[in-house]
Amino acid sequence: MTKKTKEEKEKLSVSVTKKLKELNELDTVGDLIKDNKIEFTHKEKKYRVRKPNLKEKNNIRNKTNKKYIELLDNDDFILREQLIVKLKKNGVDVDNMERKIKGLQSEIENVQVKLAQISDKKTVDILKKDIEDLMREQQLITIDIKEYLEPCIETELAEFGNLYMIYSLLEKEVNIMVYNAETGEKGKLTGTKWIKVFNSYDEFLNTEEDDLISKSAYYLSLIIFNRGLERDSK
Amino acid sequence: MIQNNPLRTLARSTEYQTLYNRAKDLGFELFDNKINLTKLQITLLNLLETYASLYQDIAMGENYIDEDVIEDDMRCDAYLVYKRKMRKDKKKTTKKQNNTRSPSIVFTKGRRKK
Repeated sequence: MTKKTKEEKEKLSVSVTKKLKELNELDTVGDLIKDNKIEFTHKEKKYRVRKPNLKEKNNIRNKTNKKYIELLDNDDFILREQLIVKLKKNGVDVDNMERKIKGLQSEIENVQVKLAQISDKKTVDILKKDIEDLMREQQLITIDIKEYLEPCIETELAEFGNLYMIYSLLEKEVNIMVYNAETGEKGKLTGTKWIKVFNSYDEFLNTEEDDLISKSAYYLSLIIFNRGLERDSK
Repeated sequence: MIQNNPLRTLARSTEYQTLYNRAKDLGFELFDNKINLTKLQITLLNLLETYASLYQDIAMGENYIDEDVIEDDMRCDAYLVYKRKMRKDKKKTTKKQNNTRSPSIVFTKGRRKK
């Protein structure tokens, strides 16, 4: 057997690490999709988020609707459409930015159609780079729009909905301990159960566990279709 | 765009493709929960279906699709866009052909025999 050079070994090590990482990721993904709950560990304690049931969905919807009415009465906030008009008067044309995003999408699709019919590696790489550049341009405009529309009722409402969802669906695992009344012996472990982490929405808002909330937001974004949650998790 | 998205890697893997096809044929469940599917589960089901159709395209000998394209997320997306465009163009052509406004039977005004 020929001895491998240092360079070859390094290459091999990188590829093995990459492969192992890939396998690990796949295991994690397998865990994430097996049911509609995601368990995770934070500061050596087990937590989970899960898909809401019908009752919880109703409750979240009711709270969000109530918040919407509140925001409509609040002079500090205006609706998205009103904000777009105000921004236009100040030289920021959100509609035009959205048109640009659509235009870029058409450009991306044109390059994709070309890419699909090419197999030459050099050309494939050039076209791929073109697509990535166009997508980056698209993302930058999207981020700009999000920033401009930050102070509108819709954004505030999405923010509230996300937070209320985390508050409602974040649970921690606790041990079930029993006391022996006869011997006075305490703390015998009989099992575990899941309970809500926060007893009230106020308690949730006042928590200093920012990391826990970020992790929960990220995992919930994998469970529920909600663009707001995806933004929060970053 | 996420290149080598782990969910896509899972969906195109032989293991999951087999599971998906068998699940359809034999009626067993892919996930522990039968209802109230999560976003990830719905996305995976969509991807499984997409990759199943791509493998079918390879089997049918379609142009511009092979294992290399399937392994590359960007080329794979490009192929899907190309396929969608071809389908749209074909639909347009068919519509045009069916919309020539010329009747298939031409009635001419004939003189009545006396």
